[in-house]
Amino acid sequence: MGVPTWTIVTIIIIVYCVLCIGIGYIAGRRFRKTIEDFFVLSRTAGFIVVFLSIASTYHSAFAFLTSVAVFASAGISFWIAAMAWTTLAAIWGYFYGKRAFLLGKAKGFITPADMLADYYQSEALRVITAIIQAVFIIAYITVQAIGLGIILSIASAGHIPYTWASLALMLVAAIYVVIGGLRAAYWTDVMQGIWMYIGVWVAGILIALRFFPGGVGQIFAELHKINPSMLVLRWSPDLLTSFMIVYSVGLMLLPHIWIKYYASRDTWTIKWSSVGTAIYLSSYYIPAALVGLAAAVLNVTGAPGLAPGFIKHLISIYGSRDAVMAYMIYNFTPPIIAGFLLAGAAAAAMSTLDSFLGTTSLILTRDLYQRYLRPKASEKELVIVGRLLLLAWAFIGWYFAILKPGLIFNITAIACAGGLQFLPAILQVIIPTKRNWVNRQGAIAGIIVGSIITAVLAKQIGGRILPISFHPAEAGMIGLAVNFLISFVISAFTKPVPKEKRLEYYELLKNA
Amino acid sequence: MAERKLEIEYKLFKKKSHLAAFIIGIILYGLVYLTYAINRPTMIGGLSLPFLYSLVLWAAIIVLVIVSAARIWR
Repeated sequence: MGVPTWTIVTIIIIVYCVLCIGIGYIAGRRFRKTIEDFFVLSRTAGFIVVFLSIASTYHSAFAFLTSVAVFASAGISFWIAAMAWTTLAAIWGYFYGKRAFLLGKAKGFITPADMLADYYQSEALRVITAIIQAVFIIAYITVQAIGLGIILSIASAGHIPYTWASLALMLVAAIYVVIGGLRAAYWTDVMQGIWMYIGVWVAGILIALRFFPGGVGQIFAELHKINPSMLVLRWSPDLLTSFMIVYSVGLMLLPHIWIKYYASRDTWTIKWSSVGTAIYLSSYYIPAALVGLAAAVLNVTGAPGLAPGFIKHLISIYGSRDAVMAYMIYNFTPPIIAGFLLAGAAAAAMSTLDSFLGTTSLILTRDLYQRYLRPKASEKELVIVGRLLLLAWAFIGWYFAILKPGLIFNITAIACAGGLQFLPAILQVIIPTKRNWVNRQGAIAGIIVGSIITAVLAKQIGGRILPISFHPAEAGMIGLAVNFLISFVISAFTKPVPKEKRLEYYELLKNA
Repeated sequence: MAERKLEIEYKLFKKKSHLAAFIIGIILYGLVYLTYAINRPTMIGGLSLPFLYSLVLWAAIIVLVIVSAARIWR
């Protein structure tokens, strides 16, 4: 009698976890006991590290799991929107990231709030930025916790229940970041970025060809027969626009990506990382489309070992259709390959989770604890507090994950829509124009009102009690529009940012 | 003097190539919306028309990004 499939697959995932912790341990040994080294690698990250850490951090359980789930329900709509938002994210990353790098290097910024507080000369803005980012990040941490729970639960054939599977893998990510700081996250991101990219392509090709030897053409032909609406763009223009902006600019303004620009070595690194990111992020969705569209056909026709309506069955277990990819990998690829592929899926989630946990602890430690609670705290104390906060946020994310709040695609949009609310304030900082469009009061009012509107109008938050609600991405766009309006109007009637400060930023950015 | 120096908006496109790349980018992303005009499941070369169109658009965007990085981006 052979070794059961679930045992082989689970062991490979455990080996992968040990590898991550080992890298965290090595990273920790090189740690120089300073907060700058713990969080932004002493600003020495080169091309490979910056490119793969941005790419793998951007792509998370969202890319490996929910993209397939959305392909299976919305068809090619996902590709049309995703190819636009992933490339736009990379272009925005270059435009914004280069400027963030120049400012961060010149002025020693470590957190996103450092930049805003310095330019607008407002400690209140620092606190507001830290709190709003830390709160919206919870949605993103939750998403990774959901993904990890699904992956290990399916990999173990249910022997490790979703709740404990999620906690176990969350703790693995937390442990290696606690040991090695964000240096560990950057290093593991390199490995995870390669692993998950190879994994999604191998999974896409193996699964698609297993059921459709005729390849892409056969999948499209079958879909054309079964449900031709899957082969057209089904999202309305406003939804498409919301996704394109929220999942690009909104996501890139979240702190886990933001601080990677601070960590970069030079602008050349950022430029070519952006090119690599555009190609990596968008091409990742090609194999995801293969699996998702194949699943859409098989969900109707069924296949040996796969009953028609299997997606509905998965929804009944996991609360959403996010499990489609993991389920198909486990059931329709050889056990050893399934182990590597599901480890790749875990890599996708953990490479984002680690950065989020690290940056959340950074924000709370540096912007709140150090500044207001213990201004004279030693570097060692700050690192310890950072580690404790990191664990706390991991548990908060896990708590929400066990409530099975819904499709990862939608939950992610909440966090990205929150990130988007920093756009008006950021634009003024990175483009120090002659006219002062946004000042301190305008930035504070805009961010607060925009964030509240986003949360209130989002279906998963305010929509639970209000009669009117929107997809979180649309809510984020409405919040942004109001945010811009309030920022401009209030700034027009209040004192502008001092000319000296604007000139200082101009000098730093004029050749960017 | 200080006020006059704060005119970074005029430096964003100080070279014609910067402006050209920006305009091409805007057009390419604008063309995403043209999908609605051809939004039917007509099959061409084994793929649906909107999907094929988006693949071409995607390739054009990637080329723009690479060329911009090599020639324009600082």
